[in-house]
Amino acid sequence: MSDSLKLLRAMNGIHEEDVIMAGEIYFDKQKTRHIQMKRVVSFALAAALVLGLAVAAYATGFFGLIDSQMGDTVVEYAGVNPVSSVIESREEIAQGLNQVPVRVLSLQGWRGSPEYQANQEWQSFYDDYRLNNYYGDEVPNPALKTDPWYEAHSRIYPAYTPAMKEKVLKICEKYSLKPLDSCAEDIGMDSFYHYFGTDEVLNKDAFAGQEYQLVGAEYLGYDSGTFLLQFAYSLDDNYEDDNFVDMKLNRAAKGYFRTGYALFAENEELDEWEYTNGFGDTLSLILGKSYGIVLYDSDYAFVTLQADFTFMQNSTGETASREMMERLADLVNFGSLGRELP
Amino acid sequence: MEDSAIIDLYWRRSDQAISETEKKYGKYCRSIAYHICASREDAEECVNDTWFRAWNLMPDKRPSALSVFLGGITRHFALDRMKAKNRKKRGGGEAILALDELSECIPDGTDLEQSVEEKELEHAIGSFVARLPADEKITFILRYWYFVPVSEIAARMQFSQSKTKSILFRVRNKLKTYLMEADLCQIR
Repeated sequence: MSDSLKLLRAMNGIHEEDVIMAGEIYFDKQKTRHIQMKRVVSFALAAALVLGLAVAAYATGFFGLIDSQMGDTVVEYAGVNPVSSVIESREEIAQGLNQVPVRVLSLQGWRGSPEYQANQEWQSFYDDYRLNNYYGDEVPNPALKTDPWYEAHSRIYPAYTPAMKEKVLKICEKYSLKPLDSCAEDIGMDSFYHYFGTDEVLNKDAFAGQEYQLVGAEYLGYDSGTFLLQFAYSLDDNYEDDNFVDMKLNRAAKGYFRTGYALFAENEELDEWEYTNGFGDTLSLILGKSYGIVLYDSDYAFVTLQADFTFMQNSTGETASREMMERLADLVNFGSLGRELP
Repeated sequence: MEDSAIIDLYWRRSDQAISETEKKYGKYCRSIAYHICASREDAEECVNDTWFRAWNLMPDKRPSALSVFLGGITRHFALDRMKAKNRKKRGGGEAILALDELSECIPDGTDLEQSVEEKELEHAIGSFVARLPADEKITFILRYWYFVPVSEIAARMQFSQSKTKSILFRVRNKLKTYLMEADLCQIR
């Protein structure tokens, strides 16, 4: 205790400019690492433009970027670029919000699937609604106090006005999807395995020696096995902490409406290829400069694994590679996640 | 009001110095104190103590960054108050959690070298933090200088809580190695 206190007091030795930089991120809302959607350039237009290319992709049997891309948009940010993770200088932060054009990828299913279309329609509505001052609707809306639906779905859909709720329900009806109605949140793999009903999710051998990476794993678990699990993994054989990659494992159960997407820089050159992992699952892999994604489709679920290499790159200067992505793809038993759940 | 003008008020012994400081940095210092003490009354007293101490230190001191100068004083008073409270087994805010976390930085079987001067340790910590990559640096400072809860850091940095905890875990490990290599710990 006394040594810890001594350390805490010694934090007063942190250089002034560093304390100020962190304080600006925390205390000044205009300078936070806040990512705010500015506008959707055109989800529908972008989808139409890539349609021709998609035909070729279907013909070859390989599904990848073209088949998961929902469109382009522009994201506003201050502090840290959301797709390159480059951190602005204090002077740059002080100049206000910047914009970055991005590609939006589906986490719900390949293009053409009802889950993909439902999410695309939601995103278009959501951005247009917010950009146009909620079409004059009151925010916060008094309905939040009288209709228990909002509280019950607050962790599931970004819907907080009657128009948003109505849109969720209409989309479900239009695409014959069920709405998600429950959400559990917890930390730790034991809890996650209990929620999901099986521990056949990760390659446990690959975590031998770095089980601590899973101690802080956290998940959001929805109806019918739709979930988001976040954890970290060290790519270094000696489990050096500098080499860890942040992972997000998403399972979107077929037949349910869920929102959310992955982002890549619009002008970023992406590498994509097919890979069969150690479990025998045939996967589509996409890799940019700092982020990668693994996509897997089955009759019962669309499963994605997002990899964020920025911490490793900042710490070691190493760049993400195909070999790294394939090692990460080997961590997950996609086939087990794609099965029909009891 | 610009910081330099506020400092001038202190140097001229103008009563307005305190009111201008309160206006500009009251919320900032209260936030730091509250995160440490978890008590509005204690936080209020820490902030009042901070103004009083600042009044006594200027002149002769002319801070280069008023926010860090005032925040540092608030930290000092709040940690003292937290320590006293902890002795009486009462309350305690984020600082209690931060103390537990930082105990991991002291290698097993060792103590911080007793002969190490406070200033030497401060200098070592300052150099250590200065060399961290930006995301690690900001996360570490928000947690252990400003005592911001992990959930708030995650929200502000747009990280998951799991990522935030992972970053803090790794930086603490690095600090542990650094303290050993810098001979700042001694075998018990």
